Amino acid sequence: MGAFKPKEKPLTDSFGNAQGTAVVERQTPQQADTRTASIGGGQLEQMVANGQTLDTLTPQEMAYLARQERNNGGVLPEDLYNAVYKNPSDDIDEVVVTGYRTQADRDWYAANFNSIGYTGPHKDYFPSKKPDYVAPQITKISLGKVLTQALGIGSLPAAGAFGVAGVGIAATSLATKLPILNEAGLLALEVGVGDAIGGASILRAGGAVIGLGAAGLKSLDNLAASHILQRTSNGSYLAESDFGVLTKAYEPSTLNIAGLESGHSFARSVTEGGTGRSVAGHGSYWSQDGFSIVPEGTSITLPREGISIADKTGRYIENGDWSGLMRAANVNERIANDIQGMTTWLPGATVPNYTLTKPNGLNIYSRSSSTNAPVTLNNLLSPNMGCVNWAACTVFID
Amino acid sequence: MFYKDLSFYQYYISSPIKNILNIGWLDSKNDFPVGNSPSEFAKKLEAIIIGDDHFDVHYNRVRGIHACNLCGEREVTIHAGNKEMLLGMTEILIPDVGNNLFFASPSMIVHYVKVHNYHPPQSFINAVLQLDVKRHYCAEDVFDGLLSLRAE
Repeated sequence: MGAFKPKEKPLTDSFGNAQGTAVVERQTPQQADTRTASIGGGQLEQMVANGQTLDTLTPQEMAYLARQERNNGGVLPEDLYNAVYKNPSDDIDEVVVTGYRTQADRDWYAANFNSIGYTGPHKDYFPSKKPDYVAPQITKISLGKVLTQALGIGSLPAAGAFGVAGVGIAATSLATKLPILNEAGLLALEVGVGDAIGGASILRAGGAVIGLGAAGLKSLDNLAASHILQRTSNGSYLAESDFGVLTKAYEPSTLNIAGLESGHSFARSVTEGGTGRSVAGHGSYWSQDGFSIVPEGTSITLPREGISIADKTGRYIENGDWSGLMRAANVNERIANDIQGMTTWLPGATVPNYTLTKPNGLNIYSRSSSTNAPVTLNNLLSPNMGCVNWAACTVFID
Repeated sequence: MFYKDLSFYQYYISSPIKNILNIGWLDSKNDFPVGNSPSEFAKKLEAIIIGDDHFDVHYNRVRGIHACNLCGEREVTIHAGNKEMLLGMTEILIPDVGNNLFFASPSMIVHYVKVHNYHPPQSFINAVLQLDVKRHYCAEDVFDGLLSLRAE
């Protein structure tokens, strides 16, 4: 692989951000993402019609180079940086997502896609649809405003309050797909995808871990989300409703965190159960603790930065009851606020190095992991853990 | 979050609940009344906040640690016997039995009273002193009920 040389300046959208990537700057506690729409089918058609071309460096190459840079202590070139923090939805054809709502879109889809992928006139521009394609590194999947609105969850904070997806994105933009995809990713974790389908190996391979469990499909109901998955990844996980749910959900194994001494005795109550995929307790961020990089084979779902989540929200997370969480958000504005910007961070993502402390006064589940002494996220996460949920606050303490 | 004493409760909700009044939502940027409260008031308030499952004034528990808004002390706790209560992670809902009202406060209020000499409105002091802690009370259920009523 040669040195990275961008072949041309990327196109920019009305925000001045490059299209084709999510312009996600390094996350700091005080800094929200600035995210823009990614390029999709319709746009691509237009670009091709205008004689424009795309940079052909693959996302895998970009991710590799970016990691190399980072490991060497270097500063990532701007373009490269943007690319490696790319929008997860780049792997998913937006038409599938946004277009399934009308018959015309369904017809377009039927005419241009088969079980392999996109077969339309510009198939060469859809490398991700080749059968041997391995999905690129995806660093986060998050839950944004549009989906929650679509689900009828009202009374949400103003756009500026969103930590990740949804920032500055008009509902009418291409990015309407984002939250749906993000939600799909969130829901995928409900049964511990890592256990159900060998997700750890998928993560190691850098594949997309985006999926929908049965509850997710039901929850999203008439949205296109039930159709989005067949284009998402390297084929290692499909949950395409047209063909039935192709995966079987197994009881996930509990997290096994070396050296962690349980703090369950400090909880107000401990309910038997939970998915076992959560760490539970009081969460906070001390700026001197810096950042943590999500290890290979591991992902972590975090509430957006700098918020206090309700104990109730934490219980839904611990129990993997994402559809219940949606229903609760529908009637409880506090919970609706809690789930805004909730993000699943995948291997290689840089996240605040939060601290988990004992669950003093909380109501937690027996299968969750807790601590009796403060422990930082980098000491909780290790390679190949699969999907981990942070059922705690992310509030900043200076 | 600062709310004026006796204003309608509107924390994290889009429209106020008019039978819940704010008490003790202090911060360092806004003046608040100070003065000595009856000693039995602070004592009872602390006992109520320590509480138990039978008489539980707490609702809206959160999974984070919150420093005192006034002095910045972190992990403020109160103790009773072997029981320890972390303040700042819940709100408390005190019924004002005679007036069909409730008072909502951050649990940190007991720290404000004891350490910062905050003097809450007399109606709140009376409500606390008149509380019968022998009867069953679950603030979370009451609060959820009030939220539901508001939605109807």
